Amino acid sequence: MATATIKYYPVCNGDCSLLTLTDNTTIMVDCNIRESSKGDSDETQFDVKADLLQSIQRRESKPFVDVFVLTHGDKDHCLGYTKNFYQGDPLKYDKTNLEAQEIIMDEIWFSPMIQEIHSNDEEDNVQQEVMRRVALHLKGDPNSNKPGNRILIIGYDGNDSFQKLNHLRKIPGNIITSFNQKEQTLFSVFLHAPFKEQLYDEEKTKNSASIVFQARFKQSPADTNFSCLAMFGGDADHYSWCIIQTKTEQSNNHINQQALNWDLFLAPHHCSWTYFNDCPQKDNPTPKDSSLAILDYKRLNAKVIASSKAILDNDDNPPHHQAKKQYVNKVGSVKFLNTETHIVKKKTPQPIVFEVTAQGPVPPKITEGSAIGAGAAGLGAINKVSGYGAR
Amino acid sequence: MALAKFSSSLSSYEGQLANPALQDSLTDLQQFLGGAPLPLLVWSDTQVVLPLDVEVELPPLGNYEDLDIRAIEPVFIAFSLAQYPTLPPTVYTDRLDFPKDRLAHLYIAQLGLPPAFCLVRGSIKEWYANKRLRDVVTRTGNWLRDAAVGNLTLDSGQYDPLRLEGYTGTIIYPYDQFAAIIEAKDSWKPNQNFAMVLFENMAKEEEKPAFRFVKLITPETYHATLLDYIKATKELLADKTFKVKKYHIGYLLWSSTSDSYAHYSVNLPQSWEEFQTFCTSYGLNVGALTQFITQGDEHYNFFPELPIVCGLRRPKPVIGFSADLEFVNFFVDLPSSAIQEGQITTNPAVRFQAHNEPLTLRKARSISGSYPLLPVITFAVGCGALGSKIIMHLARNGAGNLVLVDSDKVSPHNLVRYALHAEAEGNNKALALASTIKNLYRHEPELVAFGLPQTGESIWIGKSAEQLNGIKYILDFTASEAFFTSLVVQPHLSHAAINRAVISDQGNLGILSLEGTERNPRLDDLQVALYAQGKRRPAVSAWLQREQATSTGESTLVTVGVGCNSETTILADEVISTHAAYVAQVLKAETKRAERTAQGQVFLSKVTCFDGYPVLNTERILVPKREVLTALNDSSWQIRLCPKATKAVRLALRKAYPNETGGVFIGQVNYKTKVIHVVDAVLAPPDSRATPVCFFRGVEGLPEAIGRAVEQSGGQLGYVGEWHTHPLGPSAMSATDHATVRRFKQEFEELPNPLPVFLLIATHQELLPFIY
Repeated sequence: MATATIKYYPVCNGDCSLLTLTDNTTIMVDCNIRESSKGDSDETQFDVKADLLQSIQRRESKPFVDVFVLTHGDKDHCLGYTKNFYQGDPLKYDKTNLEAQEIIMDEIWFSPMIQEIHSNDEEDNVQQEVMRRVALHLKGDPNSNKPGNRILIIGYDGNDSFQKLNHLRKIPGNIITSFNQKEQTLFSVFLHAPFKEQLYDEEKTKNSASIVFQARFKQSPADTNFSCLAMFGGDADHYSWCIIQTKTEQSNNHINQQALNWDLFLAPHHCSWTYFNDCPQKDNPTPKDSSLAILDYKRLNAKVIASSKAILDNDDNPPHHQAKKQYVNKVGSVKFLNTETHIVKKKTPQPIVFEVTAQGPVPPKITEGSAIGAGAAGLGAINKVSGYGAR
Repeated sequence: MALAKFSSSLSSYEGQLANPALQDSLTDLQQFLGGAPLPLLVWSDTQVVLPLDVEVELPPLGNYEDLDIRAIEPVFIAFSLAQYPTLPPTVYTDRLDFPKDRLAHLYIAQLGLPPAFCLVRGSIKEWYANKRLRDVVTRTGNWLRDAAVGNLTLDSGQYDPLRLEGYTGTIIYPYDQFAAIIEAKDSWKPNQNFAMVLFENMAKEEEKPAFRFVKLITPETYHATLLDYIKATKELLADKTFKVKKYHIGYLLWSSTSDSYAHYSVNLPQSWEEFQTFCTSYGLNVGALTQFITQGDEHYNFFPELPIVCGLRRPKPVIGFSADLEFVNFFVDLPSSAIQEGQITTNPAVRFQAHNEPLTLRKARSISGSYPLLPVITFAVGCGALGSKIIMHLARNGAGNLVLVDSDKVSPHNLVRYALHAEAEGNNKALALASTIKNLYRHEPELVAFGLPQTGESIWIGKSAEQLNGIKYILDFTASEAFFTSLVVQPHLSHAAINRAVISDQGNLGILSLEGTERNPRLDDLQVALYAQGKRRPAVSAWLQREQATSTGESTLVTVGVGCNSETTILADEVISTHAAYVAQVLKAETKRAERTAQGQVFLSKVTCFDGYPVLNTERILVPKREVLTALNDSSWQIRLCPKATKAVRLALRKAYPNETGGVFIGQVNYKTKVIHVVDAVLAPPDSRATPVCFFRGVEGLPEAIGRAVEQSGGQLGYVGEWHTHPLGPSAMSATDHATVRRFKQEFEELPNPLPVFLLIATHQELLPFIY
């Protein structure tokens, strides 16, 4: 059995994470694939697509992820969706799609109410694909349960009703153990948001509505403790987190399910101040108690990951350097990791990867070198004109 | 308080490094680690050490089992001044308080040193051949990280045993049998905690003993064993040859309680006193055994080395084994002078040994990626050069259902190309081979390896059909025409799978024939079918022509199959091995199939030469089922027709309707088996004449057609008979037919190799053969 891993891709201000379970099931949380990152053209950008294709499985040579979760439809969470993910009837995936290495999403998780809030080219295409699958399920098409047509509805309906598909719905407080119709015993997801209140609540809360969940890993099915708890919150702001805290504590799930604990916390909205209070920060400089309380649910040696550009001491938001300061106050500077700067090879930022061990998430082993080598075709010296001569 | 480090006791190295490889590696490492100088310390005249702090990424939820691994771990790397990098560097912990008793993957410490990390599976020397010093540092960091997260043990549900480095010799015994003795508390006398075991020391010329388990000694078997022991010892004293057995009585020692112990001992005992302390730390009471050895009169040993295997009870099953017992193997250097007044007096030296499992069929299968190859008893006939090699290949694959048959003895010249070695000289080949296989799997209960010093034919001589029903699988490696014929005509083997391998073409061609189901096609069919391939395969034709050119005597039939037994046959060992290896692979592949291939198959392995170097080629030929007819006028003759020939005849019958038509058959006649093999039908020559009731077979082009068949098969095939059709009946010979037969008979009888007259009449319903 392989080791489960969590990978946070460096995508500047954006989110793009990949969870790989011990049976090689992959769960992609948001996507952000810049065309300019492909190949070697821009060495300041990590080639996410190439790495993804190496990290996920293939079926009849077609690459696929088991689950694609879109936390919400902001462009920095679904950039590159249209070009890199296959949309349409999986039976019609052809040579052109294969050549473009389009990735099949066996199962899509989507939130109807969040879907209605956002609109951009990429998000519209996600929505179109989701509605294609919804239509199959509504008419009871025999292929609707095949990979590439599967869906999971997260949370409540907006204007459109999906009541007929309630058997495919999970709501906050639920624990999800089946992914792409495979039951997992060493992995589960505790769903925190979006919740019903956000449907009717003031505009601000609605705008920051995201799917929020806790990814939970175990080493053996009988374990009562988790070997890794990783929190994914999209762009959820302090209002949302306040409700999450209140609801979880009221239902006692913070104890019964350890639903608020974390070893890895993906700083919401790319390390924005919105997690701590309203913006601008200088008008609202005091972090909300609930936001700090959530951070105090950290377990031993927990780490915060800021999936953003480098965080500088200026007025930018996101990322906001005061937000970073708050996180560092809680976990210490060594355990605050910025995707853009944490590991950089030459000029290229590298993904932050954790392997899930019985003692918690740890970075992978350092790769050993070898005393024997030969240059590959991509070697710079081979691809550039070399000048020689006596003069 | 400063950390207690081993390296603090060493002084700095002031000399110049004379070893450029070491200098180079250290410079590279310095660059890798950031450029700060790397100070060396003196360890001995021949070794220097480099102390280093290794950063360890500790896991967030605390270290596995709270092991004391730290974020900065001091280690030191030891280098041989003269022999680096041939002698790879060794990495030791520099912490005197390193939690060594709780970690597997540390080498046994020697001479008061801290333990070294066991960084690689297998040989560090081999690993380091392709690595740099920086990789050693990286790997050490990864080792410590794995220790901290609990990943050093691959399967945390099992117990990682001690790493035994620096052992003195090996000891072979079946773990399961020893574990079973302990579980059953099968002690020498009731309520003791030890059993008496007989070992043989296999090391004849080396000092380090190599013990091999012979048997458990019980009070009932004690006297007989002791007599054997004394006899062997007397032989040894009289004649110091290789074959003499060196027996040692040894003991298996265990704890009387069921307590388990998790700790590791990186300092194994080196003396009898330390051994007692070691045993006590694992709950093993040495008292009763000591008393038995020193005071009783049942303990006896001619040699001073006394093997003692200690069974330590671990909290979990030991990795790679079936039980929670870990065996640590010692021998005590105990000359009789060390025992005085019922005491062990001189604190004798104790050494430890590495354990090896005896080979089992299962292990052999797992190592060779094989499977139960021969599920039924297999009669392998012919244990000569080719046979012995194929049989050993199969046996090493874990095939353990072998009855080996050969009447011949191993002559010295056989050893030039034989699977066995000089110790087999003078022995019967089948018995020697069977005994070698039995020796391979000494403690394997499921092994059947039986030698019959008889001829192949003896398998069925005097046996009833019912008895022969038990023979399911025959491999013929005899290269004997006599056995081949006997096998072909044996009527009670239709249920058996029969395969034959021979070498021909001066050793350059290997031929493996696999019969089809229900012996159709049979070995003789396959042979003739191979000759027929000369028509399409120039290589086959060229081979047959070479055979024809070298054959002597009046017979036009060549002998296919080189007798490797002959001194005059020039054929090198490795060439036979090439064919043997291929045959073994094909047999393996065939037995792996869910069902036996229904068709017959011929596999060829060819060694040719290009530019002075050998070239290897293999080929597979599928041979369809023969149509088998019995002569209507003489039931002793059988006609075995290739479907291609019968199809051609039936097609000609339909095409010529309502007229008759006819032609001749190509094939081979065998008087010994009384079979006419038909491989091809030649259609009516253009000058033939036909009406609905008669047919005159012409001759135009016919001699040429027959000539080609003869030539392409090196004289193996040729004209064997005539065929014609009776489209309107009758299903019998006509008067004209009889007249023709008489004419042919006259001619054929006068041939140097007389031919029978074979006539086949085809009607719409049937094929009617007649032989005169």
